[in-house]
Amino acid sequence: MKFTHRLGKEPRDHKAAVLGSSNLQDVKFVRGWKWALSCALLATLALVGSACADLGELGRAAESAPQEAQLKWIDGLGRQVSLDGPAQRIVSLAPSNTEVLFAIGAGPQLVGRDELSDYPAEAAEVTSIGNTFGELNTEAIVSLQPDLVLAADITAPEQVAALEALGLTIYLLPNPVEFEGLYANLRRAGELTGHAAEASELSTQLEARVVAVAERTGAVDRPRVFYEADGSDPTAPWTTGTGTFQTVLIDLAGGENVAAGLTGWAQFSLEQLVATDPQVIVFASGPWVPTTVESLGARAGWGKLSAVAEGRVHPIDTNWVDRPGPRLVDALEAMARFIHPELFD
Amino acid sequence: MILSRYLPWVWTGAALLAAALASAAVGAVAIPPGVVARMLLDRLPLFEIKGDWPAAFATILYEIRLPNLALTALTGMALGGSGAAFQALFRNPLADPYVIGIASGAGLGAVLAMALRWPSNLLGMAAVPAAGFIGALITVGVVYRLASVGKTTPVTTLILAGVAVSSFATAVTTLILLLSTSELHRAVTWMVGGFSLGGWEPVLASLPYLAIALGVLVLLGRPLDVLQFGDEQASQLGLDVDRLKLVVVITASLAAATAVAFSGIIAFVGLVVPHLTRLLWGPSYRRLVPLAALGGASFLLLADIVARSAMPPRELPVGVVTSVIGAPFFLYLLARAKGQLRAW
Amino acid sequence: MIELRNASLGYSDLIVLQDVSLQVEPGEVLAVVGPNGVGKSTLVRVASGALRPLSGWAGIDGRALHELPPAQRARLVSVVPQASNLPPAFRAQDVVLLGRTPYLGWLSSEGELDRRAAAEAMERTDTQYLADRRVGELSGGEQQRLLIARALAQAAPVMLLDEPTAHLDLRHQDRVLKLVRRLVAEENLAVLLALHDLNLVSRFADRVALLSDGRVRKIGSPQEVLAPEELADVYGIRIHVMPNPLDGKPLILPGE
Repeated sequence: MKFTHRLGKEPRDHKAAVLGSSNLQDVKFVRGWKWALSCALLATLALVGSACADLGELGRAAESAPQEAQLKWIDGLGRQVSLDGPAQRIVSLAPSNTEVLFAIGAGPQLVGRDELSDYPAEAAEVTSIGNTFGELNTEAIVSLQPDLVLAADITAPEQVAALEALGLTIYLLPNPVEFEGLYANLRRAGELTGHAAEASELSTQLEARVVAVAERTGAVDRPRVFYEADGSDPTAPWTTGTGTFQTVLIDLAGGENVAAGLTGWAQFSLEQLVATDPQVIVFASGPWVPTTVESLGARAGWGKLSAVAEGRVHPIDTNWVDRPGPRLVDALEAMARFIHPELFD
Repeated sequence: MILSRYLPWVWTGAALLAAALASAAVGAVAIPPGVVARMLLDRLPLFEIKGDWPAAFATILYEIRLPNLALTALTGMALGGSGAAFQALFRNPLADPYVIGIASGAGLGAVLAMALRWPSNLLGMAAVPAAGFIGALITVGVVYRLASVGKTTPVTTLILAGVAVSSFATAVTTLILLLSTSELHRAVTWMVGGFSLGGWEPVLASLPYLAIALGVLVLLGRPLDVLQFGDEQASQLGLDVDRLKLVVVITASLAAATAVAFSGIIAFVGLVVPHLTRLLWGPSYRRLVPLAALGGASFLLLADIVARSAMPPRELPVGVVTSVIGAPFFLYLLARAKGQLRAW
Repeated sequence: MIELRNASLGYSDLIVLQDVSLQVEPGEVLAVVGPNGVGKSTLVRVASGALRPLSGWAGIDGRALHELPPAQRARLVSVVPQASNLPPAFRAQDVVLLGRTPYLGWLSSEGELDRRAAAEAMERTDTQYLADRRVGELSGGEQQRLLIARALAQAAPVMLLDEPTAHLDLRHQDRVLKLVRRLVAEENLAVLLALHDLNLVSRFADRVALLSDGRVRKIGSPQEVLAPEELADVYGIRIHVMPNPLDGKPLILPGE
């Protein structure tokens, strides 16, 4: 072909073309800089690799002398946790843990807390380590040099693992499913912090208050109670069913949770609400919750409910109910007053 | 003229180095830059520097910041490189790594793993990233199959199928979350920016996939340029268009899926960085893919620095920061290119 | 030599042309003409191998186009499309260099040979002064010549052009087609040219294929095909044909 002849090359077959230009020197040059780049990349990776090769030792260096730890427990994740003595520098990753620690007198041992810990007022003076929703500020935690990090069920397993990998001791206090669990948490916290006596005493007092309520509500009629956890959608409010502490509270306070047929947190349709017609409505309230007794009663379709008609709609501090701490007992007493005003106050 | 050839690399390399050093120096605990430099030198083989810094610094730098730096840089590289590749594939400036379902698929996989409580049983801490990774790849596979018409895969059907499947995956994810509200906290944490799983495991786990995927994409620069003239012209110029598209989809998805698995769904990097690179250094994908990868690393490192230092001791999700920086920046790019599309 | 034999051309839901048989030999220009929408572009697509004939045969030198791997096909057939929707930011010389794609694998870069081929192609199409300009800044005529340069760099013995003069003014129409004729002479190319301007066809084509009603109505010399009866029938208006005073070739005038 005249054309190909003019340009000085032979028509090549498919395979030959894959090797690139027919001019061998060009191939070397072209490949040359790519190989150089790859080698540079590999060299950098090798350098970085060797640098981090012995990094694994760093965190483990702290455990160089394996002396027998004096105290050992199994935490809420089934992990074995050991301390040489009561924890003196504690970081709390949940508001409930903070409340528990202060309640048993371990407040002074708290060196760090999550930003949502706002109770009691003294908690505000403890250094905040930021949010636990999202990225955990491990640097801030490590810089406080805690000997114990107290986690809760809201702490993701990945976050627990990350802190563990940094050589920290973590204990996870699980959410209680009934009051026995709360007392156990309090006592465990007491053992961890060297306040076993106060913890035990507090548990006893709390138990007495709980029993005082439970005894009186044991034999009476149980009004139908609806607990609204979130009312952003008035046609399908969020409520708490079987398996939640809220149901335990309602039960002990002498009421019957209309949502007992559901499990966990679930939405209740307005239709179901009208059909079950609760006699008492308790709704979670807080600084960021816009719902008021009036606004709830004014919702379309809600006016017909017995609870609204008879004025038995009550707000309850969401932090009392949602945080698995000592204020659960306050919540119980409040619930009892709402559900059986004739028996309590 | 010789200088102008290497100028983009010099600038991009310098930016990356600066961002990396800044990332190592910034954090909740103030470590003076001089100390940082000495601590880094000490870690390199052949260097031995007297360690006069507190143990906490060592833990913080070596075990928290360096792995975070490495993972962030790798994630940025993956997003920048795959973003450029997808823009080449779709010949569309709005394409980003998530357009064919990677983000929604990864979200579905991860949330499913959380709902099934996997870390307690199988695979340990790798369960959620692994599930996310697999979810992403399965979703891309489904989208590709749906979009294929015989042997060809027109890019418009690819986008449409991607949108449809993504919506479906997102809906299912929401449903699963509603049924397991106990995992809500964890799921949202993962989605806005992954977990700082910490340690070098995520870095080492991502490395092989990213090395292969980005390595191939960088080498495919020339065929991607040819593809810009349309499927028909590319085929008439001798390119096996269908095979090229398949390879690009596979490798770009691999890179993006790896990034999402460990770092959650980070927006805008895959969209803005290739554009910026194109504005600065021209449209040829031979340079664009590697430069966008390196630029993506710098961009994400910068966003990470802002995330960690904007509202101490809070650590903002890095995906939020990239959106906050990225959206106005993208609008600025649009304004500059308005009416001309000169840079495209 | 590129050939279609009894080919039916169209898309999955539409047959555009039936029973098409034509061939183009090296050293000649075959122009394909017909009313808008008759299928000229479809014919070019099939001839390039981008579209497979629904039935029948389309091939080059005895080999079916669709059986050739894309790279090999591109070394035998080059296409000059209409100059529209080109990525505006590419530099002209990079566009021409892309014509060397059939000789490079996915992973290789251009070598000295490829650069020389591109440079030569630009010289012969008189586009080397555009080398560093961006495609978006070029005029229609310049873009069209650039695409011819790209096809030239492909160094294929068959060249297909789809309406290369569509958006060009008189001067550039002339230049482009004179260039094509020159290349045919110098490289012994086989050229298939889809064109709608009958007078240009008359001046520049060796043979003409007239398409109408889904078929090749007539193939022959311009004198034979561009006859008033044929054209009136196909285009539906009265046509006058007279010899062009300058070269004696048919001059087509729409008449009343």
